Amino acid sequence: MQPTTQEPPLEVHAGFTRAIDLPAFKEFASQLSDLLGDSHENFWKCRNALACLSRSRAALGYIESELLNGLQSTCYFPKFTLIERDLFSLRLLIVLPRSAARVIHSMVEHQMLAVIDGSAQLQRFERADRGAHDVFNAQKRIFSSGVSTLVAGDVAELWADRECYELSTPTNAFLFQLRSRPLYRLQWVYDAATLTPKRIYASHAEDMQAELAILTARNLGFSDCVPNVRRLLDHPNHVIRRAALHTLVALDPENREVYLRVAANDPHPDVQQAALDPVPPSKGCEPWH
Amino acid sequence: MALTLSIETDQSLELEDYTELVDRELDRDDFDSLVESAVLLKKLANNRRILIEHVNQRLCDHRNSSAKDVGDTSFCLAQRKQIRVRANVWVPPTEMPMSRKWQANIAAYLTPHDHSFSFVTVGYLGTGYETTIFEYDRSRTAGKCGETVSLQFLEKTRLTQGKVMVYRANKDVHFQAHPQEFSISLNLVVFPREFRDQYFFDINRSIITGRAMEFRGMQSLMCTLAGALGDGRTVNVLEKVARRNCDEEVRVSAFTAWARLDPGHAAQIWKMALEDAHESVRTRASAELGTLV
Repeated sequence: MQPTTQEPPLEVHAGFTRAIDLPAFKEFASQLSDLLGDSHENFWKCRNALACLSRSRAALGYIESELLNGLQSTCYFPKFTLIERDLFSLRLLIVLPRSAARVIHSMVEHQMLAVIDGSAQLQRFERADRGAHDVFNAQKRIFSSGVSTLVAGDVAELWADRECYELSTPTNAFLFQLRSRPLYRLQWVYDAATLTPKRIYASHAEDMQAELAILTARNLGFSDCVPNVRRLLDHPNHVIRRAALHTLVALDPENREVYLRVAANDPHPDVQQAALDPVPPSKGCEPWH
Repeated sequence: MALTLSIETDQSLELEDYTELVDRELDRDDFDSLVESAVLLKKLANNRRILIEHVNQRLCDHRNSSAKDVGDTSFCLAQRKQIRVRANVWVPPTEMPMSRKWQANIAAYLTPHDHSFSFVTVGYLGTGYETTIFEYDRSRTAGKCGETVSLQFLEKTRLTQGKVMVYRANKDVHFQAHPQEFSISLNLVVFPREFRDQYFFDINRSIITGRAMEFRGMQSLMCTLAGALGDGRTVNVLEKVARRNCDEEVRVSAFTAWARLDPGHAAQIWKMALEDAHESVRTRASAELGTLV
């Protein structure tokens, strides 16, 4: 069994004060809702609000609140995600001295980093080729675009997809990390030593769940699922479209030619390739006892 | 040892009937009762359509997937009180799309670990994963990283389709190998009423290498933050944590942060720590006082 399934007793988190209950964060969330409106394009307008928050006592008030929460339970898990809204999220980031990362991840959302205390080295990287975000290409390296030192009160702006970054510090540094809503569905992983792409993966939890359901339907031979899998042929994530096509060819072979035409007309090369892939047969769901 | 049960039955159960029976008949505090319930899980696994409704629901409504599902490798089929019924999906690396994020899950199941809960599991589809099982005596373990633990090898086995096994909370230690084909297992997990640690092990060195769900580490990090950013009000909070938190590791962190925040009173603070109920706090206090002299 996978060990990640362990969970605390269910009642652990009941009735504790959360960041959003604290006046400073309530006001910050309200300010951002006004600034962002319905558009993530306004994300950069939140810079001053974030800078003010990082210079205030808000982080400390939250930490104190979490420490007091810890007195109410034998196994309290402090939260480092302070606010989660549709258009943004705010996290408390702790940077500790450690060895260099082995991989660098692209960002699926815009980010702003605001230093609360300490200082951190911000190493920025940029994509050399700003071609299609969702087509993996091992040649699309990132390159270093500079190092800067962030100190208390500083705010750094980082653009989704275009940039990646690494933080390091000789001592501890504490930051707020403000994220826009996710703007991309796929995250790139780069080798930190060579700066070359290693792979891309679906970063949306719901996309991963959908793909798991598609794989399961195919392997169990659930032809009843065909209508629902068909609906995923116009999913915005090509990974889901490709998995859906494989499954439809396996579960609904009578319409194989239709699905292959859909694959051939898909804008994404990986999905076009799906028309040529051999599809593993389903194991079926017949009784086995 | 972890039990492999020989259960022969052709009967099958619907999910609702299964959860109702488990609700009614399972004594969550009795391991034998869990073992007795294994026949019900076997009957559930005999129902080859059990996952279809769940899979269809996920396909229709994937934007609202349940938070109870674990990452991208598991379906939560039912949850009642402190029990949970899950379907875990095992995909061989060769069939795993590079687009999947679940590499993290792989690292976890390849690493020897115990579980803080007992569970019964049945192979539902495929040849399953191979697992190597050991046991240890939790009552003789302090639970510190690097601590030597006596691990007794029990068996190497495979959770094949139809096989039923029961794992004992905080006794059985196992690690799995990659499945050779797409496989699914069903689990009935019984969460304990109280929080228990889950450990990771190094089998070759017979030591504990880490703890999962590190609430102590997270609370200690909060203490460190408080020590770095704090002011007069924070001193009061840290004092409360140092005196009243029920975990000795967190109390040590609180004393440390408190002394850092109020260095003029460090000696008094560590003298207070000498009165702590736990030996590890007193030992640390003595050491800190030694450095202050």
